[in-house]
Amino acid sequence: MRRLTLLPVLLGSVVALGAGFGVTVALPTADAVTTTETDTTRVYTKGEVQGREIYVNQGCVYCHSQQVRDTLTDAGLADRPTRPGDTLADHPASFGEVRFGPDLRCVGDRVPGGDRDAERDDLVDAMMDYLRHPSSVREDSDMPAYEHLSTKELRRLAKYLVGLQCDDAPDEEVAE
Amino acid sequence: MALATSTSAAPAGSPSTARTWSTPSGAALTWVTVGAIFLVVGVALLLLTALQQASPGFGTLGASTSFGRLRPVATTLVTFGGLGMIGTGVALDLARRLGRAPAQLDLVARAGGALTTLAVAAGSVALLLGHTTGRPGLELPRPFSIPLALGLLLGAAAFFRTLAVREQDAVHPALWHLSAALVAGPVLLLLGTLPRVAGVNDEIVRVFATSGLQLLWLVPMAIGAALYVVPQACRSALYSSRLAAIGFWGWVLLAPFAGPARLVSGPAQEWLETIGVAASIALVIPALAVCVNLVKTYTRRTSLAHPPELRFGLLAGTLLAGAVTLRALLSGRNAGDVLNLTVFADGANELLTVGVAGAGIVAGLWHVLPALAGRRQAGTRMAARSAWWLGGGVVLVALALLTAGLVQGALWTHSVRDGGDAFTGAGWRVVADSIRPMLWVRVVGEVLVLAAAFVVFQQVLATSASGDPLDDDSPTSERRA
Repeated sequence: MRRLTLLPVLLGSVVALGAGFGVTVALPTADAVTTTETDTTRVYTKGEVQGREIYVNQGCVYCHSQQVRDTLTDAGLADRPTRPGDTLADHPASFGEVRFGPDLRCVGDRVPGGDRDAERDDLVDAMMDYLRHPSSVREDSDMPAYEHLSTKELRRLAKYLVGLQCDDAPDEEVAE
Repeated sequence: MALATSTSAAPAGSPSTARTWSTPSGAALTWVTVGAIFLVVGVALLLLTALQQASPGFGTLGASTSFGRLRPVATTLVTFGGLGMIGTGVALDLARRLGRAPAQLDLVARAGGALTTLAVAAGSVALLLGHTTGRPGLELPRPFSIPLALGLLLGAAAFFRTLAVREQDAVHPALWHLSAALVAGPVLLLLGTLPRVAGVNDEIVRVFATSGLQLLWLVPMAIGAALYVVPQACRSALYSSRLAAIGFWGWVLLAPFAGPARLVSGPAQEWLETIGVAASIALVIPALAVCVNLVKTYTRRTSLAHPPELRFGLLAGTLLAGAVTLRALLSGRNAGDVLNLTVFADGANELLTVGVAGAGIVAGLWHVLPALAGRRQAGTRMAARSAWWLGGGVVLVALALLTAGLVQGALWTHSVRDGGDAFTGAGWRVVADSIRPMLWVRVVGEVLVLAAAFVVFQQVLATSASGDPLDDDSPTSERRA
């Protein structure tokens, strides 16, 4: 049996992979800024956590993002960009890769068919109506109807989405 | 400087055993057959999800047929089931050929194939039922992703065991890429699955693992297969070992750092994004080295035939240079600010995964299939034609989504400057309607890709079941006319 002369190839590959993991994963995730709570860190209620699970298992992340970037294109989404501390309670992160639908980071501030100053329960009801039949609430919506969800599931999902509010966050300019 | 790549019969003096280097591994045929089935189902679902994007709600009969459920199943089947399994099967056979060693650990490789098959199939059903991690590209929950990683590790064990008993000292550049890929694949899957972190840290881990699975697992398997089959099909030596070294070391050293380019302008640290952007731009060098090496090998060919593996191998090299250059151009902050999170992200992913990895891995498949099945390929003409379908399809998808992404980004920017509202309600609908024609063009591209995937499926089954027996003592396809 011959000696495995592929050793340099394998060693180089493993070292490069390890270095990549160290520099692009271990270092940034060990950075305190990514693990320190801020005054804008979201805290979910039990009902919102259950709603978030429905958000995840329905695959909402494939159409909607939940991050306001520090760019001009995102300037209309919120008063300030998303900061690492804002997302500490999000597992999985649900940042999203593609926006086929609008960003939902602050969707609780603009519930379709809901009055901005309405009571929270009314906003949840409005969001439930929208999720069940989007086009009946907003004619121009092309979001698929989620009528296959039970009323209980719709309520949990709506509670989670209505809870995604940013209005109480301190103002900060998004990129010029 | 050229590398000899010709093959001959088993060398005199080699150990006299029942299994020689020219006896193909039965496990490899299992891997590629199951992979071909997963691939065609996955691409069919990819087409269905493209239709659902162009016409929201299309074909949705319930939760399990909604876009949010079908999308992760499609990518899981194409990535892990289709290309991953075919690529591993091809690698198992190339280890035997290039090492001139009898295939080792056949039972282990079969067990790995069975475990991978079960994990992908059961995991896909679980995804349809809503059991998901919710992390794009790594959706399989741990009860499926860990067995999947173990299955891939068993396949890798058989590959390296075969190389360990090889007869030749020289290690072909194809094996450099294949070895790196077979180590990286399961490791990245575990690294992406095991850490339990939240928020931006979860996104950092996910981006490292998903970018790595694409750039360090699928693409290197494709490059490795292309670097072997193109010289074989041209009946000439690989053009340059120096270019091969630049291509390998450049890729292996840079690709692990390229993932964070996807995080540009997001909540992660800026220095991390800069590393990702720099690595993405630098990756152009090894990609061009691989492409030039393949094209120059082709220009020095001594055979006028253009078998399917040659077409697919050259397609992989060309698409690699194009995809990586495009990725570099668009990873800069200015372009990224406009294009990140637009639909172009889907196009860029498909160009690399289905285009580059698909073409290279299928090139390897066409080359090893006759030997694995012990029969002549059932329809080489149709297989050769399918290179045009695959190439045309992925280019159409990428161009359609690049155009749509540019329109999307431009309209968002325009809306902000005008003080309009392009992010909700009527404003959003204007943007969505503007890109819809491009989403239909994308559907046409996906139809072409599905046609190519169907040819892979049909050829694997037809060759295994009813191809003419090889009329040669050696079952290696190198001896085909």
